[in-house]
Amino acid sequence: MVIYTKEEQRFRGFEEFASLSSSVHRLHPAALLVTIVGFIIAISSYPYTAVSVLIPYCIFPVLLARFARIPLKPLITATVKVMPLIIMIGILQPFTDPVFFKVGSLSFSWGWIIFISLLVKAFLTILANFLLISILGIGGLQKAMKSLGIPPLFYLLFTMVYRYIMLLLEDIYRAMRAYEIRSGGNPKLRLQEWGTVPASILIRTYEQGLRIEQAMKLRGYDPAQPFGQVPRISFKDIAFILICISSFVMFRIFPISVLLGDMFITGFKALHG
Amino acid sequence: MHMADALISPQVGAVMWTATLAVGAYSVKKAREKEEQDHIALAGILGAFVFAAQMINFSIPGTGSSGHIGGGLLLSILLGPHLAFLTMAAILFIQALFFADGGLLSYGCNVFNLAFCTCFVAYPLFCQLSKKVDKRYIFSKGSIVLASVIGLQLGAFSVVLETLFSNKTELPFFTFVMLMQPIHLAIGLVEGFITAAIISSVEKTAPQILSHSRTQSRTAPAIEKLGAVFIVAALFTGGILSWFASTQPDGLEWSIEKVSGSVDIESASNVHGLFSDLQKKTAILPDYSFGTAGEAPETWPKADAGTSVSGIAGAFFTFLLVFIIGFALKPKNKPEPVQKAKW
Repeated sequence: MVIYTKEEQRFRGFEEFASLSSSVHRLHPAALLVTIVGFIIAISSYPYTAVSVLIPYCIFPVLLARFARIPLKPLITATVKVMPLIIMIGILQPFTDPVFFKVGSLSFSWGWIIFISLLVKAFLTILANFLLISILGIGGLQKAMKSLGIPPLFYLLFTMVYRYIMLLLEDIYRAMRAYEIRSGGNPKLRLQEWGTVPASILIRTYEQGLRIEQAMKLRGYDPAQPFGQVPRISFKDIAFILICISSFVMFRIFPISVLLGDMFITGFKALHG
Repeated sequence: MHMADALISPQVGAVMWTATLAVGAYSVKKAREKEEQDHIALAGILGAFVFAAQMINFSIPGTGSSGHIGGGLLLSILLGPHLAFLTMAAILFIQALFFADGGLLSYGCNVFNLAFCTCFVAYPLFCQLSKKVDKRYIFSKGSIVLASVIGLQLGAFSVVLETLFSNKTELPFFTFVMLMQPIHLAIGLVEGFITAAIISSVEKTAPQILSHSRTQSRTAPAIEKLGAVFIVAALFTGGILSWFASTQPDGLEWSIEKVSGSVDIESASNVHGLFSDLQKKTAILPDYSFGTAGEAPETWPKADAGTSVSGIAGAFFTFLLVFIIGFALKPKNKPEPVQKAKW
């Protein structure tokens, strides 16, 4: 029987998105990585009370996903699912912040603004993160790291960990299911089995690792000569980076949402005398 | 303990990235010198084991809750600290990208907190403690637990410092420390006991696996002190940078002060006027527009009802605009993959 754990489903989902064909997918992987890191830096550079000025940045993930032909819904769902971690940290703010502001006759802690700012920032940065891996996949990411001069030892290790996770997830799932059945439906390891059960999987894994290592060496594997050709960076890649980064800088300098709001207020006042 | 991008300022992120790259380069160099790079497949699969073993729930007696395996120390014992550090860095990268446990900007912080603190602080400590009581098995287990606790405590404390230096939250230092340290003391103890149980079980069943780590333990700690000094220096520098940046309302103002010698520049020209306006809008929150209720310190910007309404209305219209663009660009037909995945 084929078993899919939720982690495997996540990996496979991203791999499937990365296998699509689009103009964004054809960009140099390093260009995409640099741009998304630029986006995250731009978001993180805002102070802890920024809220409305962050909204214009929503356009970037939306446009990127649309041009990459990746559906936004699963990415947004995945992003929302990891938000509780941020909520746990942020929810303390309103209760620890002694500074208040007034809306009409009601007083609110500034912590609420900090909390909302944290949520917006977390949402945008996590979504960008998921978009990066959805477009590049593990292969694209490896190429990006290679072209950015990361030592082969690291990105090969990264790729190997990723590939073996798929194998071991299934293995550990089977071992734990066998344990659960034999222990009368208890899925948690009892104290006396803390060592034996994981150690047996670990020893098996270790021996499997040694076998793979020997097989790789026998086939002439040399870590100093990593595989794969990385395409050269082209004009369109540089143009993509420049356009995106300059847009982030523009958004950082000109608060678009406030300017739009001003226009609305002025228009509203003009209409109602 | 994974930090998200939203909690990190670019300054702290950059400093920690620099420190991580330095330690990473050092680890790659050491791994090459010791020919550990030949064990890349082994490191890969053990890294995958640490990741996948998170699925295993360890029942904590008397509490009803469960614990998880801790990776850094276990990998250091099996692979040596340099390759373990790189493997942990690879695991953290996968966790950040696929599961948003951490992020790209905060990656340096997470590698420091979870990989450096365990591989280059907890592991040398474990080696030192083990050496003194060489053949006494029970103390060896105790040293794993102690090293695990200290590694995790240091990591948790780093989280507090990195968050405070980033100035993205207003949590008081003492409250944050009192939240983080006791929780991670308990987690460290559980992870330590789990690691000790696994190692002792491996030692009984397949002692040849640990023979590699025995040789490591004689040589590991000395050079790591240099790394620790470097990182502490980086943290210190980064901390000062972040603090310095956070005391300034905006980098622009600071730059202007440096250039002109004064914060207040007379708006003699239109350009100055424009920058002054912009700075007011971007300094903290352009729409700081709610009335302060007396308790606000003077350093906080004065409220202006007009700009707040602009901000809220503007945010709404911008969001609406993004939604319309996104909807308009929605592909009509479902895109086909270039190549069907083989599973």
